[in-house]
Amino acid sequence: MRSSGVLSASPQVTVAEPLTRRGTDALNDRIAALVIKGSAFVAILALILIFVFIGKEALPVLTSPEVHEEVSLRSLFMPQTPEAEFTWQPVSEHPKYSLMPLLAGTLKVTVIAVLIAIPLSVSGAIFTAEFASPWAREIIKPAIEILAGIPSVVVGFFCLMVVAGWLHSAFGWTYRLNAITAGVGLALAVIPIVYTVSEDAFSSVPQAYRDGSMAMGASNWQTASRVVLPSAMPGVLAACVLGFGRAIGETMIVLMASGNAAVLSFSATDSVRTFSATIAAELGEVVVGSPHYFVLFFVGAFLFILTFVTNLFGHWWVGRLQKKLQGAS
Amino acid sequence: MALDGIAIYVHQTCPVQVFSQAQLKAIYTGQITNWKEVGGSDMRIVPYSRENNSGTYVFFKEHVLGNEDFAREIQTLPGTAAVVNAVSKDPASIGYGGIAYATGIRAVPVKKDENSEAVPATLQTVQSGKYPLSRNLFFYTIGEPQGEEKAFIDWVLSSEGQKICEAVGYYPLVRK
Amino acid sequence: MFDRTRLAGIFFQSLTAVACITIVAMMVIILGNILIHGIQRLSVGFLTKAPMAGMTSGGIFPAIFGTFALVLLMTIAVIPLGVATAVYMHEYAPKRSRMVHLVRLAIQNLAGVPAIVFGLFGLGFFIEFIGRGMDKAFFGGRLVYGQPAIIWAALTMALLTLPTVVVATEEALRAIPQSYREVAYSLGATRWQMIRRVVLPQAVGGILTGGILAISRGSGEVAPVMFTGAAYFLPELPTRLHNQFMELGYHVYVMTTQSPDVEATKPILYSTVLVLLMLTFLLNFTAIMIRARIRRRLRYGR
Repeated sequence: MRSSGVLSASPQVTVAEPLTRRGTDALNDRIAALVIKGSAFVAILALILIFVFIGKEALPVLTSPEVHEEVSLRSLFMPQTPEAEFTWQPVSEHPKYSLMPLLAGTLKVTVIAVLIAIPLSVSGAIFTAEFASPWAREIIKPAIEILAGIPSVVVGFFCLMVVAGWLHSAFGWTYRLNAITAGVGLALAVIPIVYTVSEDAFSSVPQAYRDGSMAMGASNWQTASRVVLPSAMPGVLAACVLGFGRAIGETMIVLMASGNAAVLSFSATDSVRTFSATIAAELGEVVVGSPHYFVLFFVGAFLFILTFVTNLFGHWWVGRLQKKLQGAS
Repeated sequence: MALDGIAIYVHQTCPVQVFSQAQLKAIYTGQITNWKEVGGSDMRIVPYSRENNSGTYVFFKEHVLGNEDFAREIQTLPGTAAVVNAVSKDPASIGYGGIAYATGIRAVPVKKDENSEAVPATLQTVQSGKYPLSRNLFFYTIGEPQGEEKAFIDWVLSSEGQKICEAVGYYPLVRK
Repeated sequence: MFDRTRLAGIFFQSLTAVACITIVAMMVIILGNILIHGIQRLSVGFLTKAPMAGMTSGGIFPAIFGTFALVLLMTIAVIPLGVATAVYMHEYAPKRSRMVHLVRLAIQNLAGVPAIVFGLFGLGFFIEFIGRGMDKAFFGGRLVYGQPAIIWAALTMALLTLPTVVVATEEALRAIPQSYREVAYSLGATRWQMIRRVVLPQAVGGILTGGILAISRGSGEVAPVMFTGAAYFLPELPTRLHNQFMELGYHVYVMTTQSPDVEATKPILYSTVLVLLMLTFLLNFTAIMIRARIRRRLRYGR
């Protein structure tokens, strides 16, 4: 259908244009094809380059004997010395790099953010897709787009200046900047993505499902909860996975609102330090080629792989749902 | 090029009038965790620090902590303004940083040890070196500064340059 | 019995409505708070003056200029690349081919890479590898491109926004009726002529949408430019590709965390946040409008 070779040899064209012109056209066509194919490859290349160049700077953590004098894979994850078991203290007489407090901090904030964002955005999406009148939809959808458009530095600023104060005076926690404060901010960044993907999932459920359910006398809510939600479930789960991926890598919000203390604890009201905030806070002044520098890239590589796997999984799930529903309708 | 005094900040309602360097060290290494141990009310101390990429962090670590590590619970914030802002909103907190203005906070005088007198961070005490937590800020050059480098450094050392140092939160050098 | 299930239904249904209201309310609170505090200091002078006295007075012109310069460079890089990628997937490669699948996968994953990782990549690849390499090759080892610079920040940002442009362009390409392409071919056009004269002019709305969304994203992100070129304060505007620059988002971060006078900075800070928000909203709003038009066309087939 798209093979242009036969068509372009039609007699009208040969008459209308001199031969040289046609030669140029063919050449242009070939150059354009080459350039376009090349450009498409850039996205793949970029991912590979990100992997290679972050990996390259992270590798000395595993291989270099000089770096091993300060840090090794073992000391990153296992208890270090008896008195400082899991400590992240890179600027010290004896620098200590334990990723465990950072891992705990990252997971804590992420889980809090996801726990706030998922119920809100999934039920919000159900409302928009199933119950809302057109005018309500006209308000909610742009509102979500606006929320998605707020730069994360602004959310971080707002959390630090305003939300932290509100939560602190309401609950009187010891640490004003803590995992919950940052988690609330992070939830604001996660809501748009979870909402959008799950709203898509709800809308792609065929109308026939709803009609069938209603015809059998089910109420609006019964239809939504027993028919639409189960069919859209893979999409909703994928939305949650993608939201999780977004939360785990977000930087500015946690950097500004979490207090950044590297403690290994499970209390949600302790201050936390995340992977992303650690990179953002420490990379600026670190000596290029020092163990600290390599460890920060190692953290980056870890973060990259974590989000990569999460996203791959999420999109695979979304794709499966689409196939299933296309087959059904 | 200029002088910097590292001030200790507490919330305006904090009753503590003076810190000794030993007390500060104990607070930031985690040995003292309650305000009543330094003369305050019975409250957990919430200490704030600068990020470990800052010169202030290193200075504080060297001169106050005697190069020991900060306690793990210390919250680190990426800038003096962030520290000051955090302290101004929490009656149980303490923070350090370059001089900064904000309502709701108070800079507490510091004494070198138990027997010496308490010194507030002011222009005079920093310039005379009486304030224990003061430091010189330097430019590092490779060899004698020449050409543009020299012109720039001369400009910083001029009264115009020193005024700008003051405006961004440092103390001017003593005129000799 | 019937009534109880009905009541439960109404209860849960209203819960979902409450969720929606909560989301909208959160957005309104943020915007309202920033608008109220930010509007006081906003003036023409604020937009056209440089920061003064350690950012405790003056305006934010260099940050606005730097942001524009950054997104301009970014757009120059990302639009051709993104459009070409979308054109390849939709017009060149056979549908459901392995290559299309791979490219799509790469785009989706690129969209999920954390901004801070892009920052690390910009530092490791553009500055340390390409920049240092250029300095060695062309400048005899003198430090010119091997350091944070606006060009590296813009290229890093271009990679970050590539998925946005690709997705928007693809949507526009899908909206073009297949018959247009067939007519072009039947008139003897080569594939490139067909794309240049028929497909691209038709897709211009989608490309614009993608570009605007990319600009909106690019003007607000901080993490990728922190290490690749954004500066705390600069007395001069960037005029060369290897200059550093000031950026609105980074300026917000800097003022929030390191001003010597918190009280004096606060109104300026709020106004800067307001300017940044208005900029991104204006861009987003325009993009949403254009996209709505394209979607209508897609639905009714014109």
